[in-house]
Amino acid sequence: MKKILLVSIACSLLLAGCWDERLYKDITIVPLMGYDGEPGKWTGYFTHAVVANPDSISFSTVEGSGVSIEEARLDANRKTSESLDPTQVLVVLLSTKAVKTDLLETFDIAYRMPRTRLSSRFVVVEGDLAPFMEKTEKMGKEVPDYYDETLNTAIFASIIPDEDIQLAVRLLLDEGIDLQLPYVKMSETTGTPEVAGVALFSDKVFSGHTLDTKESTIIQILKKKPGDETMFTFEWEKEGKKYPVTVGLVKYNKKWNIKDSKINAAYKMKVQVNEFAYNHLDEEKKRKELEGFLSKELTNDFNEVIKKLQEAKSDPVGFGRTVRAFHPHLWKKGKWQDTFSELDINVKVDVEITRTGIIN
Amino acid sequence: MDDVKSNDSLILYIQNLFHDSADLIVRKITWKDGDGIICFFSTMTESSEVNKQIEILRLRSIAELPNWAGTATSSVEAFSVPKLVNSVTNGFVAIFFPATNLLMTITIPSFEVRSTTEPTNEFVIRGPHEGFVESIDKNISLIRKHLPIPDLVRKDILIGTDTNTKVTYVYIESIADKNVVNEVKTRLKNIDRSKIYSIGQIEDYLEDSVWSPFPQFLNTERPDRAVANLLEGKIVIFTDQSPSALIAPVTFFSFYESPDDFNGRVIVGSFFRMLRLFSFLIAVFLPAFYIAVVGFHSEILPFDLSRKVKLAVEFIPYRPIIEALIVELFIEIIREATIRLPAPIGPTIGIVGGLVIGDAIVNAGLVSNLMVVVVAMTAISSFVVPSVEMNTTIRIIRFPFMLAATFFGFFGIAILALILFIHLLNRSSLNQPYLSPVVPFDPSRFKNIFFRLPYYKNHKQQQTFKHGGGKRKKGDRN
Repeated sequence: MKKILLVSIACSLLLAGCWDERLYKDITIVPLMGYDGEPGKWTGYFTHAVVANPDSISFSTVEGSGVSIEEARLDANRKTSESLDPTQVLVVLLSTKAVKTDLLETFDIAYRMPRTRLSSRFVVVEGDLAPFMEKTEKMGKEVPDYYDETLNTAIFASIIPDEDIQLAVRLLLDEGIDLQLPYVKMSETTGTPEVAGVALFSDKVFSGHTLDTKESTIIQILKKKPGDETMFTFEWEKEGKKYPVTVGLVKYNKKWNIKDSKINAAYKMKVQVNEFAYNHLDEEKKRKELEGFLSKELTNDFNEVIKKLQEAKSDPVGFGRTVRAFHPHLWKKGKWQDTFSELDINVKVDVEITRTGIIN
Repeated sequence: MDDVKSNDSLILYIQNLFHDSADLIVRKITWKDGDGIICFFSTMTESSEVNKQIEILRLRSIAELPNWAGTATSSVEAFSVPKLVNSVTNGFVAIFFPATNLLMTITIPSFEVRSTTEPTNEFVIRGPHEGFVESIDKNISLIRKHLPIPDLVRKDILIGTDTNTKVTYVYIESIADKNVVNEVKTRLKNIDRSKIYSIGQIEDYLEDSVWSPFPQFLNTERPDRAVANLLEGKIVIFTDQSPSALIAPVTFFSFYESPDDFNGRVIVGSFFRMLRLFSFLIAVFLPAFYIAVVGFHSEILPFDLSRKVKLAVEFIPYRPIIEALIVELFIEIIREATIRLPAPIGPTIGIVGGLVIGDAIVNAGLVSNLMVVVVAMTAISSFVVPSVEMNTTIRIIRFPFMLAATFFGFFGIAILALILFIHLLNRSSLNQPYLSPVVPFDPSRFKNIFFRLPYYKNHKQQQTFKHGGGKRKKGDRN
């Protein structure tokens, strides 16, 4: 009896089928994927590692097509020597056409299969996808590394949000906030992909509107999720001469005042002056003057961004979350994106200079 | 008649004072004015010299010299029990004259044993550099030298009708758990073999579960380690002609404590104690973990690392387990070979085996360089444990883990780790829980596993084990 029990317990281990062996030397890493197309007609691009000799690893791209993204992968799989393994993926590039359909439906497999790397990132690219998968001379390194590092730099400079595909699905499902994805363009001068800002989503699809790098930085500030190095540069005119002034964000707080269909958002910022050739910031009068100038410029910029968001019917800042929590009558007016686009939103920025650097 | 009776009861009284220790000699001797009672530890005095000294003193007393008892080796003072105890435990021969109520002490030490060398398998950096030798009496005297107290009790048992091996167990009466002492006594008495000659054979008889890979007795050749354990209430078992002592009851964590811990400083000692426990995890799990990652769960590798791993494993003709076994086998062979080799050749073989062949085997593409790193780290980690038996145990139990990782990946490692812990929880050392103080949980002693606390913090005597609960019946040895 005891023997039968032991044998049956040992056999039951074999039932744990999801632990099937996949020898690492028989699969190939896919650190970068790209999808173009529309439902029923997807084209996938897969950059995978090729080990030709024991000393170095190189990457090449293979293309496949199918009715779903998984079929596209299986199609591409036939064209490679080793099996494509998308569990190491760092960046998923999506063409503007591809994000016109619900991301959740397209990437069902990514959330269904346990092996998916949820820390990879979605990126929207402008136009045709194929050229973005190619290595250019200016990149200096392999394509996947280039994208990974470029995105990290942009997050550091708070141009794009630090959101992986796990967070992306949460934002997609949340009605009170919209998704924003990094937007990558081909540089006209160098012919190399570069981060150009963010692509705005309205509800579950791409709204067609994008923001440039300065505007997207403002979104990250509005959202209160800035990167480590958030900077703005303005030109300050004094006595007929223009002086560039660069300020870095040190610390700030936000205060939203929501009253039926009117939102007053106040941002109080402490900044450090990184660059200001006019100098003499130790004098209070000059400092006040500069603070006033910065507050005015930033208030303008912030309000412009809000207008663009309303135009796009996209709320990546998350006003909707606060409205849903504290102002149910406003929330219940209808679909949040529509309500949001008609709200009267005023942003006021107050700047205070707290650090002026090591010279006065 | 009364005189004789009172002397006999006096002898009994003194014997009781020393808990009837077998090496205590209490005898009646005849003296000029009435009988005297001589009392000393035979293990600490030169017995043949005792007679000579007594003869000299007797002559001096018959000659009625003034202050006949005061010589270079002897002195006399008023009798009191503490004085008697003190002089006997310190290796003096004490002679008590009930008639005059005087206590004469003679110094005839026999401490000069064969020079004791530091045990080669238990080096410490600081602390005493002496080791046990092949004589029980000398070993006990090494212990008594550390612990001059009457509570240190020695008991002898003769085992084996053919070999008549003397087995001795030592404990501190006031600290040791009486049930454990009785258990040792019963188990030793139950050994019914005609030929017993080594400490390892005794260990087989004494162990709670012989088939467990985990040692239930701590083996040591260091007197300071034995003394430290005696003071924790443990029992030390010797056989004659063997320099190693068995210490029990011990816990799993006892094997990870070194005398160096308390000779070094607090923070350093704590760091090394944690390092040793960490090395246990590496030694058991690292190769299995690597095999599971390469065979099943490559997705957990960060991208930058996965590139290196991919390069390493791409051109290896074997599966990871075969690869691991090749290197493991190779290292075990080198290790076994260097033990047998004479000292001047050993390091040479180590270098030839480790460096030259290790490098060549990677270059030839038989084994990946990462696997060599993993196995080498594992091998070195397993030597961190300051106990030879535990080291061999760890080296053996990592093989089942490697197999489990090959067949089931992390799932297999998890299942086997579960079985390992269930096994450890069920073990006991002389009926005391093996995994104490983790299970049964004792918060006050729990932190001692990871930290070596300042010595003055241990206010209460470190009582290693608690009574009661889960006692098993005699004869139930599994």
